[in-house]
Amino acid sequence: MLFDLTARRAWMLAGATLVLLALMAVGVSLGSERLSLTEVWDGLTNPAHTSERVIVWDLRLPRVLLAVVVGANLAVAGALLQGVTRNPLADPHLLGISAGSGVVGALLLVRGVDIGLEAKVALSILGGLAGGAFIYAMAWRGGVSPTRLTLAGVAVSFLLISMTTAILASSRLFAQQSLNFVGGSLFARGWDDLRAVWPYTVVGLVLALGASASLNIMALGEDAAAELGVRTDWVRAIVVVLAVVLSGAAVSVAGLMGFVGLIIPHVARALVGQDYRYVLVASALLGAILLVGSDTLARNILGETELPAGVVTAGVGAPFFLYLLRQVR
Amino acid sequence: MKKLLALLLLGAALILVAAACEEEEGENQGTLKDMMGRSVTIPAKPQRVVATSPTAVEMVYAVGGTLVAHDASSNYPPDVADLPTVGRAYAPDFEGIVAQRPDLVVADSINQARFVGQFETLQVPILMVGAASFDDVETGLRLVGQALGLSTEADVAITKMDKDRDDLIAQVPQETVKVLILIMDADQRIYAAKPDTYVGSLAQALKAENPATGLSGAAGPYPGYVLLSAEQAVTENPDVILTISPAPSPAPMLSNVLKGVPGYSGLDAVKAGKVHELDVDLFLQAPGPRVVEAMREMFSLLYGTTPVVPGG
Repeated sequence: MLFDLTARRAWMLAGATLVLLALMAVGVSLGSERLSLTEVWDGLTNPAHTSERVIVWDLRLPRVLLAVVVGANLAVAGALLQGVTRNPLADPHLLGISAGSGVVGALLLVRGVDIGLEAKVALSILGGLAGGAFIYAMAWRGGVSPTRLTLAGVAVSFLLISMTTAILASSRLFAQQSLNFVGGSLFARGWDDLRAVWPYTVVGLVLALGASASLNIMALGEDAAAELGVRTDWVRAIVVVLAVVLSGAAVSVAGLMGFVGLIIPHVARALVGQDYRYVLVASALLGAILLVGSDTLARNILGETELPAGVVTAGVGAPFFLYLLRQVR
Repeated sequence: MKKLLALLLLGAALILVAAACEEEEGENQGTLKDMMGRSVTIPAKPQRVVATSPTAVEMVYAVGGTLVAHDASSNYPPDVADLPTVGRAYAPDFEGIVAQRPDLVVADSINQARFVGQFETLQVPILMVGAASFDDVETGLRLVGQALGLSTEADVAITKMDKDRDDLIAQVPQETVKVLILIMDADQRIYAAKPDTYVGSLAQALKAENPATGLSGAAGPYPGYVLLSAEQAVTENPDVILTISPAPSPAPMLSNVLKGVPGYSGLDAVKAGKVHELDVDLFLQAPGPRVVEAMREMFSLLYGTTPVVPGG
């Protein structure tokens, strides 16, 4: 049985990695301009200044990589929050963390201020931290119980999302822009955005893996964890901060991309079991798969114009998740 | 004063050309400062030019240039209908632009300013031009003319524009006309144009009094337009109301629905039937070289008489 699970995990993770690589290849190959596979390959490998090079290397590749980063960030943030609140519905959106980043993003969008991408990502994460700290303070009563954390998170989330909507509505931006922000989109994103967010992703994912052992123990229950010497309040705080960093970085480039953080961790658990070390890795892979696939669809489905990718993540992801729900057990 | 300016610019252009020759680059004709203040290195004789907004498209044609592709939002001059499109002005198709292998892209310094980073990744010279006033149109034409090696043509067009504008303004009657220029958004809120909008600047040039000048209402989706309450409209009670309806048919035109908006039915302009619809292309979507045509149309709507066009 143990062997079965180990083998199954290995197969699942290897399979997911292959699917992700294949989808990334598809993402780089498809766009509003039809390029042959040789042209795509040439664009990837030949640094000579050609239009294929610009299309494949400067326009498509950074978007595909950003989709990987954003998808992995949101899915892992969701898995962390679900673990720490022991609530299957926890995700960066529901818990007001990406909403904190969202308020910052909306303000920057509306004011049209250009503070540079690095500062934008950092501010977005700070916004998320402020949201997270507020939730923590509201839930604190000599300690933080998972239930109170969830409830405070939901309430704060609604508050902050209404603020985001108010900011966008009061500014009367063109619908297209607001829609891309609220719906989540990677339109007109490139290498610069990737350069600004990847450090947070790498650090966030590595530290999250480091916290996975504590998460496993906490899954046994508060008392059991405390008896085993886990400082549950500390672990919870650190894990929430990690989730904020990951989702804040994602929101700063992609807007309020929904669904990924909520659903992907469940799919991951269905595939690799309950051990958080594997759940986190599988979540990162599956989140990346969902977003690379969705962004590719969003770029291609309407020809010259684009859908917000967030529309596709939910539109394609939700039916798939319902199918999965009926298949597993 | 204008001649002096033209001379100075000509001098500057000559120095640039001379500098380019001295460097013996040969490939580039020099560097231009575009309307976002960016330095743009322009190839010697751009052959494949793509324009990504109606303003940019019309400026290229006005100086006698040609395009290989344009944005799907532009529809003037009619020649562009035969060209391939590269996305809409508010959502450019960057891949499509690159696939045209352009050696120069003319983009919009007002509506596309937020895309400038993405444009720059295309590794093609990007010239940003835009028009929020008559003077902007001339600045843009001069830049586009220089970039395309068509400065003479640009100067001819500008000289004619200046003369036509002066002829028109000389015909403005003594009486002052008070005008509100209104636009409605998707939520049916009404906004008034201030003089720093394109249409507002034209009204100001035609010496109309614009009570929106001093208003400080909330900003809307259209830069330079402020939210106008019915009460403010009643207080100002303009002689003429000009409306712009961005939503395409079958959406109702603002000039038709205005009398049904609470408060507006009692206005002098509404009672006297002086509510006129402005052409949405000419006054909102495509500010540019057709500026004199736009001013003439506005002149007749403001003063109720068609201006005399010398020789036309």
